[in-house]
Amino acid sequence: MISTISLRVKKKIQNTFLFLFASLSTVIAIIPLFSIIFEVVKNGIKAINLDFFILLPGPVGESVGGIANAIQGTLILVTLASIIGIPIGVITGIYLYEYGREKKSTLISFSVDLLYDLPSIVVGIFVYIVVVSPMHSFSTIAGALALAIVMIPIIAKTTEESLTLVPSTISEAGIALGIPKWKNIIFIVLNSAKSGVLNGIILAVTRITGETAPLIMTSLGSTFWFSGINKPINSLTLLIWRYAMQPYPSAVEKAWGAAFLLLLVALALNLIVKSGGKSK
Amino acid sequence: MKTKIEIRNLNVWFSKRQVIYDVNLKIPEQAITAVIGPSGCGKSTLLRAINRLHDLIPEAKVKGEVLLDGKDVYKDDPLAVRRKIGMVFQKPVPFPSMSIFENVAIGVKLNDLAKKEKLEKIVERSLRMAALWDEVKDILDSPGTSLSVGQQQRLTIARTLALEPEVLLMDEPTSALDPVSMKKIEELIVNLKNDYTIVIVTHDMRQAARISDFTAFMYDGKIIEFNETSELFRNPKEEITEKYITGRIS
Ligand SMILES: Nc1ncnc2c1ncn2[C@@H]1O[C@H](COP(=O)(O)OP(=O)(O)OP(=O)(O)O)[C@@H](O)[C@H]1O
Ligand SMILES: [Mg+2]
Repeated sequence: MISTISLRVKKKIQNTFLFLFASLSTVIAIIPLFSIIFEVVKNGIKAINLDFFILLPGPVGESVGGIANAIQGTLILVTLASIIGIPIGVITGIYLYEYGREKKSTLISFSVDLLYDLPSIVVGIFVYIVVVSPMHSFSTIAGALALAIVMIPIIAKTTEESLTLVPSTISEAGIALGIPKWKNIIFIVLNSAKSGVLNGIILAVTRITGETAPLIMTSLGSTFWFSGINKPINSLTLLIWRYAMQPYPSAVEKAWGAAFLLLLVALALNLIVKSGGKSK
Repeated sequence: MKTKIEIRNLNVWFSKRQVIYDVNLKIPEQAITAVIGPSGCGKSTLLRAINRLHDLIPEAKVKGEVLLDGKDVYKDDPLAVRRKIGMVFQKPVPFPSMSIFENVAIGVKLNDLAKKEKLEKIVERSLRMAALWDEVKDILDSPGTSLSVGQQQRLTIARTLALEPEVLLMDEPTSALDPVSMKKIEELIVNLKNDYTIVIVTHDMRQAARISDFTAFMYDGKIIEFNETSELFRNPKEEITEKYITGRIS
């Protein structure tokens, strides 16, 4: 009798302790996050005005000018990377789903895993060697390729996972209607998994929008507008990277402004994922 | 009565394990044939051998013949076989993210069997045959998954009928349903036999007695007895059949 009571008390104390510990850890984890957001908003909002969005960067050290070419550059880079990366990522994911357990796909699944874990700067170096070097020029296409390579394993993995989550009864029902295998995978199984696949795509787009490392040695950055896919191009992350290190307060302020913009984009994309997840 | 499907010396293995032994069965045309037997005796496996669903499972091996109108389905195009021999599963699985209309139309669409203009007619006809039209004609754009489970099962029947099959295989189509939905589907099945050859697997012997014309009793992967339903239930020839239908084995 006594021992069961004391056991219960012990359990209770344990539970309370665990709860406190978990809450404390959560708070500790959240504090830096909120302080970052707070700093970015506080400093970034000061930089935002119309010029910021429509003008090219001014001369170094002067407070005139904007970051319009970086906004344009990020849009172009992300769009090009998506055009290349999304179809390849989805197709790779389908392939992994279909042949994942078989021998002939181990090379592919191994590559996807490796690529997924690869630091993105290494992707930048790789593209530098195979694209920038032979072309003798940093370029938009090199940057887009690097970002596409970062995207592919993310999309491939989320696509594979979403497909695996579709009950086999659905795929079977499609097959039982005499639908050819590949049509069944695309129009029945993938279609049933489309919210998960879309989430993966948005996740990947969010990720590459914030990537700096793969762009340093590929698209380089620029103080001009986009002038062709074989020419360097600016982007928000490269601009932040360069301006934040400069000794001029006006440059640092623009970096904060660009960071604020990226934060908003990330927030918006995250909200899309959340709302999409609920409506399904 | 004319034989629609003749199964000859059918054996099925999963990996090394044999689950169907030398099954011979003549399934009559435009009639309802029930397959009964204890759980795990191979009813679903037998059914799935008829429309070549085992092709999807690498470890499954099928030997023997399944003649549809005298022609071996294992020597035919599997896709064509599955269109001619439709299948309804135990748990209704409407395709998620598809409307009621799309659920019925999708098989016809993906098989390129009809022009777009004809789809509406096909969908309406199939839903009418599945006794679902009146309930859904105003909500064709709603998701198929928004229907009740009983309606979903009739939706999957409509989806199968849209391909104008000749044979309907049904694997315990009412076991996931409430009694009212079950009764509706039973009536539907009885109506469908005027146009189709139907094979229904069921756990429910009263259901077999209510709706089927012929009954096959399976045990341990073998067909023990096949006869007209009333005859099989009244005068079982084998002792084990009698034990099963009187509930002494399950
Ligand atoms: N894909 C599979 N892989 C391996 N074994 C299987 C597979 N499908 C079925 N089996 C085995 O084959 C045997 C027959 O299964 P089957 O599903 O045909 O029985 P059943 O008569 O339909 O049973 P129930 O009434 O429970 O549905 C079982 O022992 C089962 O474990
Ligand atoms: Mg079964």
